[in-house]
Amino acid sequence: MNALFRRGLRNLLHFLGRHPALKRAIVDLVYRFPALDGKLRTAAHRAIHPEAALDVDASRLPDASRRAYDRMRGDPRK
Amino acid sequence: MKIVIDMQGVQTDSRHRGIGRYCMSVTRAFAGLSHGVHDTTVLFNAALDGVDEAIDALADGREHVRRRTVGPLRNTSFDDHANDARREAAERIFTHALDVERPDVVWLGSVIEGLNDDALVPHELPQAFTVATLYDLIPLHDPRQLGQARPRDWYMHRIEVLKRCDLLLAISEWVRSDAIERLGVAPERIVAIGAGVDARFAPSPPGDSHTTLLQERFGITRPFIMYNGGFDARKNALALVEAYASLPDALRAKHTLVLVGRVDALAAERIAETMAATRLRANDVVFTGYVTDAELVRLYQACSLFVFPSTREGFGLPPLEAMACGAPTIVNDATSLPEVVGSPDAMFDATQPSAMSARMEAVLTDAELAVRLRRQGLERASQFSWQAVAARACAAIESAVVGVGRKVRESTIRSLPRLPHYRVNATNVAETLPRLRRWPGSVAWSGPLPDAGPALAADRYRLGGYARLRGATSAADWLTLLEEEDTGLARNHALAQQCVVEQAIAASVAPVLSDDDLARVADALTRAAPGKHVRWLVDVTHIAANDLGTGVHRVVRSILREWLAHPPEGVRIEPVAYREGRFHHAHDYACRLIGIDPPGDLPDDIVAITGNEVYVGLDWAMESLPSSAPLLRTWRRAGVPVHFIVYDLLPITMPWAFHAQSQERFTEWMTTIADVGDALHCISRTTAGEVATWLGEHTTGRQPVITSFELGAEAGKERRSGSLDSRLEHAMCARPSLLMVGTVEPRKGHEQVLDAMELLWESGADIGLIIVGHRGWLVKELAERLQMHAEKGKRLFWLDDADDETLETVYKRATALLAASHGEGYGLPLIEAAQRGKPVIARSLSVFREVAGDYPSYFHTDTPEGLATFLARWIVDRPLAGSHPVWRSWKESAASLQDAIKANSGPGSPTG
Repeated sequence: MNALFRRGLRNLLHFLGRHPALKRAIVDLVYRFPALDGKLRTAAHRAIHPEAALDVDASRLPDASRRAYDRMRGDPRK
Repeated sequence: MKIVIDMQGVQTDSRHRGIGRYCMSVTRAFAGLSHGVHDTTVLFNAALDGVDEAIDALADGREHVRRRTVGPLRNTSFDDHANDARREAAERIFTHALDVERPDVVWLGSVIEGLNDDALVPHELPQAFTVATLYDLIPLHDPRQLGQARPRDWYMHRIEVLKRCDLLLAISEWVRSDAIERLGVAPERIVAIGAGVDARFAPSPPGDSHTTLLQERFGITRPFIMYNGGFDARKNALALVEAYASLPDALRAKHTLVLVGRVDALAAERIAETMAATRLRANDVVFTGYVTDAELVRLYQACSLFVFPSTREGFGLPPLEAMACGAPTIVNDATSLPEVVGSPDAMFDATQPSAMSARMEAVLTDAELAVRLRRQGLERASQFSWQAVAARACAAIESAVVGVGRKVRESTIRSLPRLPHYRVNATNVAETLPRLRRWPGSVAWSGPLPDAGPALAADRYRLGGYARLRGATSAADWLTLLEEEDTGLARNHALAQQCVVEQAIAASVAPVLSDDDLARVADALTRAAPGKHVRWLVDVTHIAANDLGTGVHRVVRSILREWLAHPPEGVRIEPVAYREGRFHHAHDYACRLIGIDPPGDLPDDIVAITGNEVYVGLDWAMESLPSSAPLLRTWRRAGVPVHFIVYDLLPITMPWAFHAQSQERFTEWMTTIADVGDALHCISRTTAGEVATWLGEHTTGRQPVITSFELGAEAGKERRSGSLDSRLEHAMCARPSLLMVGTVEPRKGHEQVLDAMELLWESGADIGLIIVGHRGWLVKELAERLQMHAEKGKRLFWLDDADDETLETVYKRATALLAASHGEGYGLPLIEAAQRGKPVIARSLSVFREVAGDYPSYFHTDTPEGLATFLARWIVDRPLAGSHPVWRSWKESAASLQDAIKANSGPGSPTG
């Protein structure tokens, strides 16, 4: 789903790139709604920069992080 | 002084507003000003956007500033109760990240963030002298602005953080006075540093007309009165519309009112109501919506009058920008605005009905007044520079810190952690170490050292990387290993500090955090402090999985072997391979390369980044880079300099010699390394020139540094020869023979050579041609021609799977090397042939001239006839070889690349 959304958004951005007048009209319209503007900016950034998917998860931690995790979850010596 | 600047103000939505611009401009100016005086580090929040843009904006001062990131720890915004536990853990880690390198000063760039984004404030004030920029306290003037309880709690919490800071840097005298009055801040703890205006805000050059832009882009056809800013109530834009409406009809008919900036639906409705009530027509007022900075400058330059009626401003950047662009500017005589404009001529009292319209009328009808305001505005604006702001900030910080000395905050002294104490001696050290790693604590050694040093491969690796896997260890190495994990008794030991944070999180929020959340917390905390050892992470993703024996892989092996055996001083070389979304340590490959059996107990499988690393893309990671690039971008943001080696640009410069798909993939690879890389190191000056040209034509914005280094070639090394097939042996002894070495592919020029040889054979010349190289791509017809050739096995031989020994013998027997390639990144066969004393006949390529100098006999022809003539004459004349450059050994080549990497990793960066 995320991949589909990203591809769709990328295609939309390419399309708008070829139609600057339409892009300008949409930007002006969106710019009138700060909350929507902010959310769209964030979504566009994530679509282009999918690093958020690289956050660590509990099953794949480097050794030092795993030891810190164990210490915070409970004394591993117990 | 060591100064850490929190950069979240340029990362949240603030980066699109004045706060972001202020934060970036003052940081950039401060970094330039304090270069050589202070050690400045900028700290980004990895959960927020805007790091790349900020790094690029700071690029001017890149040699002055080190960068680090904290996190990412997402979903910590204040607006949602569900984030409370995550936010508490994140704020504790943020505090630790600010403190961990024991800075003298922590500067919080923008504290009023984090309501609906993941910006963080310290959980408790850092132990360093803490400074914060104060933009305004306007919400305290009208608490209704804060709305519901949650935003109010958030704002008041941030205000408490500001109140606890050691020094506040106010952006105007008015803000300073306001803070003294409303927050009760002692006057000596707050300094007004002002604001500046960027150089791009300047009057238009003479003769520069904006008429077309104004008409086509904004529909402005008349002289105009301009406003730029927000449209919330305090901006007082409705009063401006009313004042405009009350201008004399003739004057209004001559001028349009242009409102620049974001107008939300509610504000638009109110403006429409005011226009209707004052009988303004729709075309009297122009709403521009979003404008770029360049467009904004042109609007300022072209307006007849700039009016700024705001009732409350922390500073008032728009009137300053307007003045800097030469616009006659008038402002409301309120709050900080008089500080900005300076002149009473440029002020009106917006509380008095008609005062604003009277002032507008005066400027629009009195040309002399307009000229005076323009001149005064330009003079006034010239006094506001970011360098001056940074100088005031620097002076305020220096004098305040000198006044108190390096402080350890009494209120925030972390209690000594409850850490275990280990009594270690010669008999129990081996079994204590693993426990100490799991559960850090202080260590006391008693008695004599053991007779032998650590024996485990993992311990040897910890002592000094792969270089220590071989050779003896000493008993003193046990102490080194203990020291790595020993928290000592000092409270400011980084590991001890980490343990304090761990214990606080374990006692408070850990029980309610999910496993994944706690994993992210643990990872962010562990990586908040720069690692103890500088590491160069050398990407061997492809060669570790499949060494193809290509020229590129030969270079990778040779340089990496040198680096592993003789690492740059203070640096640990870590080959890494990308798989399943992460980089992993390539222990097995590294051990194979240095000729030892891979021990099974080497630690740390997944590579963890702490900002004390350098990434080196030594291998040609064409297939893995599209997947690994996002991860490399996060590394770069975390302060890891990213380097790539470029072997050639041939799929781009010689597209006819490659499959279309290869060209596409190569172009994508080049685009990615240009985007992610800090430096591209090319294997020849020729390639470096081609890369520079390509980047100039295909990229905009930041460009990586481009360097070149020479490859190595081992002269005088003992080489083993093999035996040749009897027919080949006989053929090579019977007549002069030309040798071509390299993959059989279109660019290597085999076709032209074969055509030339056929002409020579037809004319009766008795010369042999030996081709050594695998079959490549796009050579189906050529391969068939070679296989079916009438001279095959007589005077024409193609060895498509020759081993090193066979190649060595062929080199010995051959008369000369024939390098007919149309394009190369380097030209190792030329050096190899020369080192064996063999003459070289080469196409006249600039890269061959760079590599081999005057040693070869160069030909300039692209026709078979021309080449046949050249070869026939050469065989007869046998000209003496000319001089050649001094060729480097692989050791020298590796050292040269190492120097280039060090030189382009920035100061304070991990270059050893």
